[in-house]
Amino acid sequence: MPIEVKNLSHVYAQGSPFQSAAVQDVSFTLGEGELVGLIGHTGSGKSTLVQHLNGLVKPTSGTVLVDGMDLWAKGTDLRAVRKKVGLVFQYPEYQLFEETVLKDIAFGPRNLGLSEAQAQERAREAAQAVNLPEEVLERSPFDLSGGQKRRVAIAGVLAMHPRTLILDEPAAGLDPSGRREMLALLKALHGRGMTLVMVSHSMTDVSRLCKRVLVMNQGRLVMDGAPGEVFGRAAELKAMGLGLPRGAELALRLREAGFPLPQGLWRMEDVEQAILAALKGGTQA
Amino acid sequence: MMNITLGQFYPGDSLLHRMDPRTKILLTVAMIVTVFLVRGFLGYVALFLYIAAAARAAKVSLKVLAKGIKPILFIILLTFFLNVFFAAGEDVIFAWKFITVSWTGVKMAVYMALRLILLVLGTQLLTLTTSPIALTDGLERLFRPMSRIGFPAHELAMMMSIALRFIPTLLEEADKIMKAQKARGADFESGTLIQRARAMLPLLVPLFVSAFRRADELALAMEARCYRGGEHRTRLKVLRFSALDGWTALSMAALIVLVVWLPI
Repeated sequence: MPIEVKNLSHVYAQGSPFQSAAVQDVSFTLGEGELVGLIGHTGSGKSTLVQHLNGLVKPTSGTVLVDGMDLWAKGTDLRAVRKKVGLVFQYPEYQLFEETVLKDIAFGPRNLGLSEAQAQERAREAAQAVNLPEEVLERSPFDLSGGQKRRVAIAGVLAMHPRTLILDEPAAGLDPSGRREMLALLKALHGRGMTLVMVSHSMTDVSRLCKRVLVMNQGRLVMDGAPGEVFGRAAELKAMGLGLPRGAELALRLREAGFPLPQGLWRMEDVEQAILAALKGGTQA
Repeated sequence: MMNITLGQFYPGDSLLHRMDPRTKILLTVAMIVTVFLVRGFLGYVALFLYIAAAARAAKVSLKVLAKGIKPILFIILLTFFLNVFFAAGEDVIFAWKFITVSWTGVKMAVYMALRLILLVLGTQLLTLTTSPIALTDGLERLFRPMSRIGFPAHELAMMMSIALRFIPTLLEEADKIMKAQKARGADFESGTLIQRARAMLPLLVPLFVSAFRRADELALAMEARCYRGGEHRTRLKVLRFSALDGWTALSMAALIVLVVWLPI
């Protein structure tokens, strides 16, 4: 089920002195089962862009098609779209509101018109998918740790059974172990056939996970390609104020120092292998 | 949601923007009083010309000012028609049962409507050209003499500026939470009144939680910087009257004299 974005632009507060273009003429297609990283500096328009993908924000111009259906054509049921395309906001733990974790996760399915029992069943299943322990379900969501709260919020979206899941900075503000767990969770969700978009400004997180990387700068989509290709354009990325993933940075600096390494490396393991291979080659010669 | 504009400040660098907020507050009060001093139609014309000139000096178009009338259009029309139909007068034009329309009533109705319109046009110049922070600064300074008799001028001004500072933040937050709940299939728009009120819960609970969290953090941050109220507190920007303020005050005085002097 592709999501197709065509010439999308979004201008905030049009016609007032505060007018600003958040997204400018962006086009891309998201295929079934893809795992895409959306990277950009703060204020590059990535959050605004993803809010268009499930019809939360109306584009100033351009179209968004989900399964070939124009979100802003007359008669489109946006709630049906939101069931297909789940969106987890940045710091989603701030939207919890119910008395118990289970009820909060069941909020989405209840809105879909499911019975209380069905909604609870989906909630349990979603809680399991994000590795929430059983005993947490009856507690107040406000008593949980930050990492757990975030997983409750993600479960709340998963319980709606979306086929595409978009996460805005899912690892922001988590400690290193929470971060690793979050990345592992995303990988597992993708493993179940879900299409995943991960918005992030962390090159390292994106590079570990994604098979395709989109880069935004000042409202425009400036790069779209495989990680090796995108991270190969180091100078451009740095000019936008973005770093490189640690592996790519290491490979780049070694190459600049005259060490014979091939292009297109970004995973730390691959770089390690390449260095070992180069060293062995060096001693033999 | 985001269309709520409290403090509709338009940033700029016009003559009115550069004036001391205290002058603008006092002159606005003076103008409100003048509106009620006007005795005849010519007076309203004079007042309108003065406001138009001030708008020119503020680089605000009359169109923008006129937009402010829209929300109170209903009140203006209501007072207009009440006056037309129910104000008593000798020179009756038309009478039917309990409704009498007289020339006096029509005149009264037109004057009332003009007063309301001029009030809105004039007071908007203050809010359009004065940032909320400058406004509270000016109010604090104006009320300072009253702190001798126990009026908490500084505290009130601080509360007001904090409230004003957090209105956009909370609106943004409300917008974000609303979107997040919509992404979970929440529906804020349809249903009966009770259903809609219930639908606000997923918005209000997180909003309150976050407002309290922010208040807590702000109090801590202020304490960490040794905030302890208004006493001995100095300012980065000290308000000073300039020649501009003097001339404007003079023009307002001239207007008042003119309005009172003009024939009925």
